[in-house]
Amino acid sequence: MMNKLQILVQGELLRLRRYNLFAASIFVSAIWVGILHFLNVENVTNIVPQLIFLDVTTMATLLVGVTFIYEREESTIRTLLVSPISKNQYLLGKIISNIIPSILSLTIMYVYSKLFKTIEINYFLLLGAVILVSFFHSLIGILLTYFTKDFTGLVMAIMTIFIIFLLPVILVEFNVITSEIFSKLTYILPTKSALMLIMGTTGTTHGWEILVSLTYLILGSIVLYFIVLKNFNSYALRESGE
Amino acid sequence: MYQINNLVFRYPKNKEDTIKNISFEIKKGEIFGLLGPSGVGKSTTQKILIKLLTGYKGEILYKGKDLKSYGSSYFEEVGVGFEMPVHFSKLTAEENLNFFKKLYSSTVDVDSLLKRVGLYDDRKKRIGQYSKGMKVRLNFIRAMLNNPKALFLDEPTNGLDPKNARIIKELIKEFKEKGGTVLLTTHLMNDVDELCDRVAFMAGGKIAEISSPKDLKLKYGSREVDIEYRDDDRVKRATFGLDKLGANEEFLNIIKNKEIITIHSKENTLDDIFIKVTGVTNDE
Repeated sequence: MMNKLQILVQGELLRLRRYNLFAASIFVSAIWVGILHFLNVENVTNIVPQLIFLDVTTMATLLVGVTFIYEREESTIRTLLVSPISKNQYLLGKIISNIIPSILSLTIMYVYSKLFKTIEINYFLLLGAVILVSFFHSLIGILLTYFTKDFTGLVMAIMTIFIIFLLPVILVEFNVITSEIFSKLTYILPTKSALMLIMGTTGTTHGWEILVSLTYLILGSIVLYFIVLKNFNSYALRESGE
Repeated sequence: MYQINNLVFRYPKNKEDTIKNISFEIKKGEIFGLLGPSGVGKSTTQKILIKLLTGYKGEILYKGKDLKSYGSSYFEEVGVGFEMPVHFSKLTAEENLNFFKKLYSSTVDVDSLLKRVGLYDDRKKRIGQYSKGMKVRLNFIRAMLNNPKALFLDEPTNGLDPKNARIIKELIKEFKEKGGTVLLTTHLMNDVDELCDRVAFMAGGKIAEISSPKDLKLKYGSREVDIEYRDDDRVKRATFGLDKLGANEEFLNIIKNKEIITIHSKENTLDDIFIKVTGVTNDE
């Protein structure tokens, strides 16, 4: 018998295709490629990681949330809850399959940059960073769906999270805000660690920054995973028609 | 198969228990009907038995072992048929069933079941294109997918035309004949009458009555027979007690010499018993 986690991941990937979520993800990747194409810059070594950072943090949170909402709206969560799978298998199946669109996006941008521009980054270092950042943000996406009722609620929650977590980091990264205190404060945000880790692949980030980011995201993922797992029972209770 | 002892359950946000100390048994190879109006705790009881709800008081034994001791492998032996559609709408019926089928170690011949319920020719259609009746039939196949030992069915014929309802009921009977155990929840008393070996009526979180449909009809009915007959071009009616009916001269005279229009024994229907036992109308 095929490994159940593998079956769940395959099932998720099929649904990502059928519900046009893969198409949405590729469309966003195409936008990033369009930006790279029309930017009058030959060496995109520093730009690609920035775009990947935006892509992974937003899409990983959104896509996993949407798949949860679909399962809820079609009541398929109920039939999954009475299947011979564990909570860990269910959640890991969701997260692993959610990382794949991020990898696809990275690969599209990387291949484009290799073919038509200049990029000096090791793909596999970038891949490792993307997997970790996507894992972390998938957990955030799952956690958000626990507390939202529908798609509108999810989008509102994601917008709020982005304003709090993502916007300050972007404003500092693109030198819109230059205050040193504000810049230091962003270090408490997981998105700052995600950015430092991804930018670390270009070789411009300090070694200690990469180490701190790596530790932050790994420990954060572990803690977040246990929170998601712990809250799954009450989510399941609600979705089974309490 | 299942032994439920002193089961008590309260939802975390509620002030009152939803299930109030109920005890009953579901025997191996029987079809057991759990009946009652909405909100009396029958769905909650079912959810506890399929491990969707935990945190109950009391004891539930499945095959002699505490239900809590079973992990996710419990669902290898249990099939659950939900009332509402539970399939991915943008996948075909075949893709839906194949996905779930792969999760089980033992499965049934899906094509044969699809043919029986009349969905084989539509197996490559997306669920979004299915009618309500088709979704209900597919729900039944989903429940049977793992060749379960125990089957939990919630309104399995609701929304089906008489022909397809008949097919589903035949399949439930066949499942029972092969040794399967069924817990059936429905508002359709005809289905209960036709399928159930025993029924439990729930009211206010308690079991108000538990017995076979036949015994309940006898218990709540009158042991009488009603006759309508024609006498001198006039329709007349008479009621006789069932005891020693064969020795009742007046009764014998009517059936020998008069034109009988109708003749009925006066046991109650399950609908009547439902109302009497639970104190509400069936569609409440």
